[in-house]
Amino acid sequence: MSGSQGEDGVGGWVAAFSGSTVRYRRRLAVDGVTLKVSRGQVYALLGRNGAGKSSLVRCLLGQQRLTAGRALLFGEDAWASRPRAMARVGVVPEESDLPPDLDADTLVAWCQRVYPRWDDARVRQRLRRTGVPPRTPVNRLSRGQRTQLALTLALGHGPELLILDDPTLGLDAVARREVWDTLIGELADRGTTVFLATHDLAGVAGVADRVGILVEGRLALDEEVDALRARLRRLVLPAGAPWQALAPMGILSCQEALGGVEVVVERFDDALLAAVGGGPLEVQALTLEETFVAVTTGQAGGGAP
Amino acid sequence: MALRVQIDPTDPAPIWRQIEEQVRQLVGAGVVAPAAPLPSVRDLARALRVNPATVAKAYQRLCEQGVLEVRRGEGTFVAAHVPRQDEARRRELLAGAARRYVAAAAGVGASQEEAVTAVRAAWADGLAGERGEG
Amino acid sequence: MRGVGAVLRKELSRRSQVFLVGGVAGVLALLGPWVPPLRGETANDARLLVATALAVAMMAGTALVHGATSVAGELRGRCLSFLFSRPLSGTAIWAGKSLAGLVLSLGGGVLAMAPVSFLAPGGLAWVRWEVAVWAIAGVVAVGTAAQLVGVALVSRSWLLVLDAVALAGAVGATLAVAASLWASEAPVVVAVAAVTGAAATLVVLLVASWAQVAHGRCSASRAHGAQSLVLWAGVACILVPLAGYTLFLRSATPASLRTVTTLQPGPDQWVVVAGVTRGRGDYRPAFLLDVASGQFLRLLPSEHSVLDLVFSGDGRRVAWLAPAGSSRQTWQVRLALLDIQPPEVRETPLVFSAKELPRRLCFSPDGSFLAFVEGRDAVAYRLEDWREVGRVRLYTPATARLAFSGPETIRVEQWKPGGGEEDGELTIARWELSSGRFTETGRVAADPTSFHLSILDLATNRMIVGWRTVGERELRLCDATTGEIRAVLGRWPANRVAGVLFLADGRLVLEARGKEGARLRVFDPAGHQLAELPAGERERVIPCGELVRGVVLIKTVDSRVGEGDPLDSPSGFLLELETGILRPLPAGRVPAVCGILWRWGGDRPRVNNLGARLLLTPLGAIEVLDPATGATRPLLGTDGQL
Repeated sequence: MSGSQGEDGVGGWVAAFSGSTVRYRRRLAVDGVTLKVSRGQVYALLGRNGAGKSSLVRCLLGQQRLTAGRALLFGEDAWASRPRAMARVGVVPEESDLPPDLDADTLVAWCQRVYPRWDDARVRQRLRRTGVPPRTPVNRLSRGQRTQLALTLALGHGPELLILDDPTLGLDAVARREVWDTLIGELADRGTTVFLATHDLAGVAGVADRVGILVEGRLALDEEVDALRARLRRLVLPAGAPWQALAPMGILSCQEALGGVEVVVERFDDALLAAVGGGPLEVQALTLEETFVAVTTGQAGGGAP
Repeated sequence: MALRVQIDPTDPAPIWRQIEEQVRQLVGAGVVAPAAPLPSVRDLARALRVNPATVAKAYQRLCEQGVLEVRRGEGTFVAAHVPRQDEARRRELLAGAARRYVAAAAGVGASQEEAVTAVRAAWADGLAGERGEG
Repeated sequence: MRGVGAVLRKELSRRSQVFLVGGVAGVLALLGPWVPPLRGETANDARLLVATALAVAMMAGTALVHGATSVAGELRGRCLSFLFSRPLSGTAIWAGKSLAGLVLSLGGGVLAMAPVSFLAPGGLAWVRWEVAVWAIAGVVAVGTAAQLVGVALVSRSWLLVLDAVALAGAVGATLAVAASLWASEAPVVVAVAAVTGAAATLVVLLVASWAQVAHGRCSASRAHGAQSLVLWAGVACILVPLAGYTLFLRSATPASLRTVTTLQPGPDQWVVVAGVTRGRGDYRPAFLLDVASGQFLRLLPSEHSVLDLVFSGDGRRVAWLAPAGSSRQTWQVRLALLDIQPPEVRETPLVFSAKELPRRLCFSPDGSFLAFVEGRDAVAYRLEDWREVGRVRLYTPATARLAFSGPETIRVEQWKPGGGEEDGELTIARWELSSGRFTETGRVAADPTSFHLSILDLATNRMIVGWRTVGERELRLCDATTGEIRAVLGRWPANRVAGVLFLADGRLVLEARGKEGARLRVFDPAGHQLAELPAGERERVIPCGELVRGVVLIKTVDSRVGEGDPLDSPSGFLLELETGILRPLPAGRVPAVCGILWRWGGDRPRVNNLGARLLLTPLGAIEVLDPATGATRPLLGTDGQL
């Protein structure tokens, strides 16, 4: 993977993994993951607990070394070019890593000195709006306030790429909504590229452009959300309809429901609908949550890049 | 300002298309008056919790169709003169909605008369309600 | 650089309370005089003492705590990623944290010292750059060590076991090297090695702590791995060369001597040499060298340990005093014995304190007894079983001289004081070891200053004693047993020592002064002058030895000081006594042994003594003269540039 192919500024990919493997002593946490995040894209990395999401994020941040393969930020090796890259990246880790005894004002002033660019007015306005007290030490803030502070600090220097590891973990519904508000606002204002690992499937469903699903360290699915929605379907047929005829679409599951049969298919094709006869038929899309469950329980997989 | 657009996650149509259709319907039904302002891409995206690019795409298609217009520095507005909706498209939408309604009625075991009665009643209610709010 | 400043600022703001504690400690130090154990001191001293103690405690404590928690604590609390998620290089993060530790520790220490320093007169005496260097070195050492240990403990990795083993090994190796260097009796070498080793260790510690942060980043186990690799590789890079140098140091041979500082020939062909070698600083290796074969034995380094070395008369044994093991502090010495054929060093059970240092060691003719002056007594030991076979109280131990006149008989010569200060006489006694009888056999009229100028020839039973008259000394030939004056040999200035040599056939030569230069007088055994020979144009002549019968090796020099002091540009000659022919030694050589301290037991002149055959070249090398051919053979010195 040469720099000329994906170096930023040419509209190429901003972050990428190539054959990435992470091994902790005997456990293989990440196995041969290859994915690319294009400029302006919102890439959501999903996976069950312990699937390897956090390991991948840490490797992308240059804070952990891959056992094999490469992690690239703006075309350069993430481990080697970390300090340079971090000037263009905003990070919100899974667990708050803010120094517990410092307060928001001190942290903002510190960040202002560290980054070459810093939008102080906007940062303070955002802190005011989200109700983060400026003089309270971090260890006395609520979880939601801490997350908002971390997010504000991550956005203050106008990063090209945002890397978030489960930003809504443990937050109540209001705090969660505020996080998505901030993120979407940022996307609208500056078109930031986003790479986030998350469990909040309902929240990310509308926002993500592309989704990757990690199952036991391997990338079981890596696909545009639109394409995914286009091919996965739930079909509700009347009882007694010949649902087996849908086999060419790739039947994932089949369930008896009240007054009918629910069939989930992998590769929906309009033309094959005639095979089940002319009876009443409901065709529904799968939510991201349902997609995720289907993939991680081993029913579906693959996907076109 | 709110806009009564609802994203249905089980609707197989892409989100941008759902937004596009619903906005067009609202404009066509006169819920949103000509030359009235619409929520910005940013605000609508936040309200719907979707990617702003999705909303932007919907707005852009509607602009191309002449339903909406963008005024520099002021935002997005309903076009002063909304072109008539394509007849075939109208019929297609009606037919689709009717099919769904029939399936629902069949599901509860209603007869055609009962189904039609219900439609009439709903029409009377809904129209009066919408007109009232206008 | 702005990154380092940012990290530094963050660390300081987190631990700003250290300065408060320092200030409080400084104020507390003012209460010094009220601390019970210090009531005896003056107020200023007490305050300074307390302030210093508090300052040192503050610096050490802060360095320790900051070092242990600044990285390890953040690794455990998962806060280190905060810094690594910013555009800060690993080096900047490490530098900022390390500098913060330095600033906090030194600042706390200075604050603790400040109130007392400004209030007490002379309180600023500690503000010197050496104090700063030590303080910085100490803080850096403690801080980085704490940082390494902290991460090692937090990582919970099996590497900790490896670290413990490596540490034990390193400490063991260091102790071994240090012990070996300490035993080399070369303070400059030891100091240089210690300072170099310490500085290098500090550097290794710093690099290891850098590797821990820059390569470990947010993973404790990775940090542990990086630091252990750098630390033990670095320590090996220090210890291996140091051990190698120590081996090099101890592997000196006579051939590696560049300049000879000690030359003590035995009667035969063994000589004790010590000197300077290239690349070994102030280390003075000492050897027992067989001039004929080149075989050598290593002795302890010479500077402090070869004391009072004496050869037996037949040249087969050497006795000397060496420091007694580890009790160098109390300055005890042990008698050591060396049998040359075959070479074997034996430590004897005889240990003495510095106050009773044995002097005037002498062997019996067959080498089975050793006698010396110990404290106020003369003592004799049998070497077979180290039993004391005789002890006799001396009048003036400082003046006593011992010589075996028979297998078990010792001639004891000592000054016996009379009534007044200047009164007294030199007494000669015979001490029989078998019976223990101590019989006075004679007396010599002498003055208190002349006893150390007596020269003895036991073979012919003669001695030369100087008797001081007005401004001059009269040299008298006396009977060595009775003290009877046989002849007067000449007069000599009172503050000088005349050069004298007894020859093998009973004649003796004596230095005399002449108008055109020094002269050598030849006397017959009875003391009658046979001839007076000119000996060069210099002021003084010192006969050094009889090379072959009738040929004397002499050294001539212009000098204003007595024998034994450094003489400038001497010349060497061979003087044929029969003919008076003076042949200069080749190319600026001079006799090596005159002027360099030497002593061998027996007091028996012999022809062809080794001492007579050793020559010193202008470059400082030692050569051996072959009496038959007159050719010289290089032996030692100037590192092969002969």
